[in-house]
Amino acid sequence: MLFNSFEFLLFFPIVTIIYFLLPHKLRWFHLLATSCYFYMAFVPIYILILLLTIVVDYIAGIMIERAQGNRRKWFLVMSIVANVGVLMFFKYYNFFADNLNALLHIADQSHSIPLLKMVLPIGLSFHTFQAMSYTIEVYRGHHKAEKHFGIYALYVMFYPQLVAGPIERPQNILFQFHEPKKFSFGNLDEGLKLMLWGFFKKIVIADRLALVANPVFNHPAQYTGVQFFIATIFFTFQIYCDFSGYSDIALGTAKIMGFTLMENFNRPYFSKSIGEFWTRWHISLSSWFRDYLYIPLGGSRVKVSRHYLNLSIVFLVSGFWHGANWTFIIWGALHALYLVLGLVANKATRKAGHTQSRLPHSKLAAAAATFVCVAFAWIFFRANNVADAFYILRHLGSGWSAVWKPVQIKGMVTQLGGGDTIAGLTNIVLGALSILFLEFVQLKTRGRRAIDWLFDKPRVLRWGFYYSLILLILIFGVFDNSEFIYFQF
Amino acid sequence: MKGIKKYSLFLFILLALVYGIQFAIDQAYKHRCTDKVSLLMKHQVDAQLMVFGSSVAYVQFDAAVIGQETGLSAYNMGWDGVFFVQYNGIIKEFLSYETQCKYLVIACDFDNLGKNNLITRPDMYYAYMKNDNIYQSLHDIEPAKMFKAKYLPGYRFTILGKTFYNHFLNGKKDDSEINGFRPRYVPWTGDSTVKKFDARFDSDVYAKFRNTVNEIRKRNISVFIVMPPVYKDGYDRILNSEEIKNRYRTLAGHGVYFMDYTHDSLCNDKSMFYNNSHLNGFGASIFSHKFATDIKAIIGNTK
Repeated sequence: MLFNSFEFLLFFPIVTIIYFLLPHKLRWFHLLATSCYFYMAFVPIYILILLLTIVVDYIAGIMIERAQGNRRKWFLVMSIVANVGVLMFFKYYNFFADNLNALLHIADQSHSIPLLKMVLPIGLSFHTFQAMSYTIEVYRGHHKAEKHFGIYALYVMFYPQLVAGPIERPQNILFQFHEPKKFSFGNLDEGLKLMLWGFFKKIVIADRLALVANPVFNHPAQYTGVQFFIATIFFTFQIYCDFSGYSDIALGTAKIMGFTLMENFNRPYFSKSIGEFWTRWHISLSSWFRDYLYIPLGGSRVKVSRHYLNLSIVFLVSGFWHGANWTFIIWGALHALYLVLGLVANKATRKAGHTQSRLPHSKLAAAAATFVCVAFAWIFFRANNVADAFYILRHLGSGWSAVWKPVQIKGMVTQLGGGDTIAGLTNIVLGALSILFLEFVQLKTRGRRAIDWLFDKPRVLRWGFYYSLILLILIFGVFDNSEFIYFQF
Repeated sequence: MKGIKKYSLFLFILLALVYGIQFAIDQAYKHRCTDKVSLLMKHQVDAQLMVFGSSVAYVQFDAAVIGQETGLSAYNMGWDGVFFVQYNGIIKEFLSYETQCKYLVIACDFDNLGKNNLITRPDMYYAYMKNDNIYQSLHDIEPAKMFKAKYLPGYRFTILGKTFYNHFLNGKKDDSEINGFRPRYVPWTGDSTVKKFDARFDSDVYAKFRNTVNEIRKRNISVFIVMPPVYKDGYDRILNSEEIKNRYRTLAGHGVYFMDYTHDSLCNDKSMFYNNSHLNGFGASIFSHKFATDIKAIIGNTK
């Protein structure tokens, strides 16, 4: 069931109303049952995989707490192997098989490893990571093992964040399931506003930008540099609005029921360095990798070369986490390169005795440079394969002489509109305006949520803003029920 | 209570805004658009002889020729891609206001009594969702979607799409239509590789067709159920052609006439068609004269 569907608009209020009508002791069961229903709306049978990992991790958590010495480690390893094993099989088997077959082919071997025809269980990467964070935190002694199986299952399956995060930590959320929640209009206000902003970003901005970006990335050979440039910029904002929109809806949905989930985005395109970008983009994932991979590898408290290696490992794994394709690995590698180069440059700057400029124009230049680097890397993230990505890079400079020729511009716009000039122009103009609107609102609301733009203004203005968003969603929204991008991970 | 009052007020204003904008768009659409569906919905189409049907009506019945030969005012309400279940609502709406109609022609292709799952050109009907006749015929095709479009505030905005807005911006009548008829002077594009098949037939749709014929008759209007010419190679591929025709034939009598042109001499001449089931402009001209002569003979005999 997608958040941007009529079914969800029915599902969510019904679930929430029943939740508050039930006594506290039954609420966990209600949420668990509805989360199961939510998950099974995708591919029902895959709930068995989820249940398997839940049972394994539930037992592992209890056993880790009870065991002594090395046995604790074995139970942790059991949990990690189970989770990573499921992830590797369903998500990466075909990738490895494909690549091994390619190697066998090069070696003139007739044997080939069979590929499996299977659909990736939705949200697999998210809930396995959330489950692993639980057993790791229990192992580290940062959190007690959850004895209530239903509550633990709910921790993994809580429907607002089940399929695309945020990837929660047990310290943040498990205790919330034990607390009785009272209905409050304050939570309702905050939750609905978050959902509204999330729907606006997804339906009006992300899905509109996708109309331009998708055809270009899916068939790059038919397009030229100008169109690649537009598609790259549009995809840069599409993925942000798509994913952060989903996160906002998840946070808002949970908030209405009284649950506070962690923030997942914090204006990432205002970052002045790649390092800062990764403290603002998909925060739940980057902090997961920091706490459970980067720091155990030694983090930055090692030799310089080892530090760079640690960064590279983390980002290569992060890229691989996103998808079973070399494009994601290259994307991760690019970010690792950016970070390493950034560290090298900082070191050189400090050695030379220069300090970072605090002047606005240098901050702006830093933000612009960071944006360009991130947008460039998104080309690999979005391209269907490595060949397509390099095709786009090779042809980024092509066709620019046409920008001075109205007839050729019209042709490009028509092509971006799928043969319809008006559609192409509409999508480009609406896409550009929506990006400008988004950035304007985010600029005006530093330190606050974007939806609270007019929080200190009279009710008339605030409500006018909300009504405008709702009407923009209804009139300019793209309603083809497109999936959220991060569902594929 | 303060919170409830606040949300009630917010919702009330929101609904007022949504309904208000929806109403404004509908009114502007009705005012602006002059396609034949809009003209009929504004009760501006009322001829003595009306032709309804899908593209087999639209491109094959020259209303000007028929009108001239019969001495009647004539109008062609045919439209591309519609099955009976969709244009049924248009016929019913016409019956609700007509004052002049004496003869109503329903041009039927072999799929006419079939059911499809998608409404053709829904943008032409959205502004008229409050009309029971229109709503019911569209609801018969896509019930869930039409229910939401009629009753869920704001839902219609989400399905209007670019076709609606294009139509809204360019809502003028198609100048290539003459009394609703649009000849197609195009070369042959038919598919000669199509395998034999059964034409679609749905018994519920047939029941609706029968009811509509009865309703037309109640208004003392003669009904002409016409099966226009079909190119012979195409006709031979329809396995249940006789069964379909018999269904229509059984309705004949007491002011209902079944006219079968599927074996007319035109059917042997490929140059008169642009595909297996549609006459081109030349074929339509010849057929319209033939039809006018035949209908004049019937009308003349009944006078």
